[in-house]
Amino acid sequence: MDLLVQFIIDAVSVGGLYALTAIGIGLIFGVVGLVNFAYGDFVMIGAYTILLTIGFYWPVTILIAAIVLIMVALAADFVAFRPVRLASPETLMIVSFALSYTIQYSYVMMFGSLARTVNFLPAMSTNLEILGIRIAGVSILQIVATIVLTGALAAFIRFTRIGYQMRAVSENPTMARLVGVDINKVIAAAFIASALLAVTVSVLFVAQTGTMTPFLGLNLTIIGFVATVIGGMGSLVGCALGGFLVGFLTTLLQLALPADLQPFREAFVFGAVVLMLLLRPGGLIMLATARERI
Amino acid sequence: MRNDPTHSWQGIVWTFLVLGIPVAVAALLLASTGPVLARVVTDTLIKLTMVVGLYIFIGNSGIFSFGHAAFIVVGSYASAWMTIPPTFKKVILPGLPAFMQSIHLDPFTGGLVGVLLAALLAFVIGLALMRLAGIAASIASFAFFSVIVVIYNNWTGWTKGTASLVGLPVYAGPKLALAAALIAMLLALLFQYSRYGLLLRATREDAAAARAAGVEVERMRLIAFVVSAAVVAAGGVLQGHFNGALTTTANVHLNLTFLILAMLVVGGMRSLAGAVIGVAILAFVAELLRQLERGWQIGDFTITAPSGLGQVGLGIVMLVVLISRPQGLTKGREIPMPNWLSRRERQGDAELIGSTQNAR
Amino acid sequence: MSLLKVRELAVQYGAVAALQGVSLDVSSGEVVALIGPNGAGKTSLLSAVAGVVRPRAGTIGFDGQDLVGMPIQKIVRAGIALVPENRDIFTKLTVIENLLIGASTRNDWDGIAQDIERIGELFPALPRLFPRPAGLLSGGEQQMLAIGRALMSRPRLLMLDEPSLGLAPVVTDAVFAGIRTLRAQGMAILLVEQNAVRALSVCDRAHLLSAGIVHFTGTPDEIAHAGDIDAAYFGVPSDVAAQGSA
Ligand SMILES: Nc1ncnc2c1ncn2[C@@H]1O[C@H](COP(=O)(O)OP(=O)(O)OP(=O)(O)O)[C@@H](O)[C@H]1O
Ligand SMILES: [Mg+2]
Repeated sequence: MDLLVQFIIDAVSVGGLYALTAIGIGLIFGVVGLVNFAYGDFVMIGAYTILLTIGFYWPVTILIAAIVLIMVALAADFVAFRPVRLASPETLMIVSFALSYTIQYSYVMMFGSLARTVNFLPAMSTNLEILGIRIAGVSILQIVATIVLTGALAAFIRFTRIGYQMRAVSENPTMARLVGVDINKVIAAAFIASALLAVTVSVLFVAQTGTMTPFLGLNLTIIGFVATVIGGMGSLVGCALGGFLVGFLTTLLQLALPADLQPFREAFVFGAVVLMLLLRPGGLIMLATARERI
Repeated sequence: MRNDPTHSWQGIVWTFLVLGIPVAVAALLLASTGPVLARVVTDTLIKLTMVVGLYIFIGNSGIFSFGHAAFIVVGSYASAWMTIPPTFKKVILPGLPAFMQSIHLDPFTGGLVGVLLAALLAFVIGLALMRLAGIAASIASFAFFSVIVVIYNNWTGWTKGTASLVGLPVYAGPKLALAAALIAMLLALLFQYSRYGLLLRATREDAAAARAAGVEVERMRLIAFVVSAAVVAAGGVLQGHFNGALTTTANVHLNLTFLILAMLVVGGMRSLAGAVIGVAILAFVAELLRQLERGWQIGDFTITAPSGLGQVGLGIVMLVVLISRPQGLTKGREIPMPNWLSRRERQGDAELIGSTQNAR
Repeated sequence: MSLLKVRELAVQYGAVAALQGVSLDVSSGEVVALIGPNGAGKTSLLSAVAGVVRPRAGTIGFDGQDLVGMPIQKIVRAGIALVPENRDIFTKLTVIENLLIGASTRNDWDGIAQDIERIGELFPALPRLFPRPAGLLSGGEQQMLAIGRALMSRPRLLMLDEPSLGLAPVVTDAVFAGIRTLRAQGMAILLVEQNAVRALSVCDRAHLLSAGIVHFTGTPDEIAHAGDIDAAYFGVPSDVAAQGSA
């Protein structure tokens, strides 16, 4: 029983992190039609910003990281994505791939490729004892952050002017422009929202692992892609569910796989996706959206 | 298709010669200047083989694959297992099962095993991937690549994991690499000219219409995928037997994925000319940046650029080309045939040339 | 004094010449109809004015401003609203959100609220549908919504592309009743219609377009008495065809 509860908490907290990543990727895909390879690198930039500003009071550190990431995301949009906005989704994707590579190696140039460690929010790594179950502080933070941010984003998209403009741009960008929507502003808003999600992931990631390399975003990007494919890139709820599903799967494999197969865990997770695509190639929302967008 | 010479057999010959001869001449000339350049030439020709292989799938199907480096991994390791001398294999890979340790094939057969294994894998994976539409297929191909890398990274008994697997017979030199690149180019042209290539190119423009016209889109894509995987894997095999060592450490294969995609995209992913030109340009840029990273002697000073500069430079070149010319430097065109070679071909196409972009 | 002034407009898609030197005017408070067969270039003209398609040649003046090359959003701000042929309402947004998004260029919330009320009066079928996802609306309701959405930007020129397309006669009546009301309120309208009888019943002047060329211009009366309509609808005279490929 305790084991089950422990498992659920682990799965939900890992899943939450993945869900936030998936939503950040899915949001940009929904509004701009861009599959953003560089998203994980935004998270990486956030992590290094935390590393550099660790001396400050922690809310200041987070604030600086948020500002940096918003500026990075807006700059990426302005410099790399806006010029090819009318190109095919494939072109957009390959641009983001090139951007991701450039960002990663710029950080290698600045910080080297060796792992850096930092002790951020040490209070979070202590365990809390709730009703006889031990929960890491980070897990609670992850779960709370996921709920709050997903809720806030959903409300933003549902109830604000930019929110319905985003939905309109996602459905029919040309018509949105024809009714006077400032499409650049809406897309910038989407990038800001995804930057805020990314900085949250950075904070949670650093608080949890404490180590970073310029390549830390890679795995997150792949996991985010996988989650969005599972959940359907068309819908944010689907992305969140996909993230949680990947989280559950990872945690489950961690529990169930024998030790010598543990290193292959990710292969099993990604393999599950390829398998799922094999079994249900047409059943995923993602596919419908991808066809529409082309 | 505007002014595409690859629609006639004369055009195929023309395109092969007009691209192949400069490649061959440049390669042989440069390689003859000494061992340093010979290595660069060999490496570049191997990359050319890989890029042409990648082009066979991407250029014809219009689908981006981020997974082709997986075939390089699979092909090169298989060839290594087949060709490393058994006495040495026992020492370096004690975890290998007995029957694998005793195998010792000649380089050609060993390489063939690697290529065939990659092709087989492409067939199995392709059955799933080729059912997907554009972006979904790209994402899935990336997931597939990650699976292969994770497996080879951790399968230490067979691959030595992130350590290096050494002891591969070193037999790939400039001449062999040149032959491989030329064969790959010829194969690409023949595929493009074949019924499959033509049909697949039709699906690239409008998959729905092609499907409605009875073209089995998935099957066409699968054929291209398998052929392309085999060519890319052949490049991988040569790479292994050029370096004499294999490793999966430090994102090497992700970097390779980036490099060959960048080469194809910079040149223009929809023509063989694009593939060749892209390789030439980026190989040159990469070599230049590599020199910078190694250090630059000015008088008594050695200026050393921080490591990572090479990759950043390539990334920026690719970004700039993509943003200013999303179709690549060749804009997806082959080298046009001179008029006296192609009189029949050109009529009727003339008024469409250059006008197709006006609508936007 | 004419509000919209189109001169020698030419639009080209690849090898297809959709418009070849079309001139027309719409004055304030005037309803101008553009009629013609399929493929005549009617939609292309509206698209060029709205900034969706860039003309190959010619000028488009609106209230003294040159619209060619102006970004779409600026054209909307200048006072032009388009109701496209296939309506293109945002199916995933609610009806009221569709109206609100039509006011994207405005920030006067009181005025926006008033306009929503006015549109409810113009199309009485709409208000009770406000909270519904627009994708669930019938074709006629969608057309009314699309017109309402266009009005939300407070345009000085409303461009309607085949508002009767695919609608039952009763529903078309309701839509045209709305158009008449707008006309009575002094709205300048450029109306594209294949249903010539309907179009002529509401317009001040009409242009007959076929194969990218204006063949006839006149008041509804003049057009009704000219024999040219049949020629434009059922076959293009050979001299025009020769001109067209030049
Ligand atoms: N995006 C496009 N690309 C290529 N050709 C186009 C495009 N849009 C329109 N055309 C062509 O331009 C010509 C004029 O089309 P347009 O849509 O303006 O006609 P229309 O008068 O609105 O016709 P309908 O009454 O059928 O709506 C047609 O021959 C059409 O095939
Ligand atoms: Mg039309």
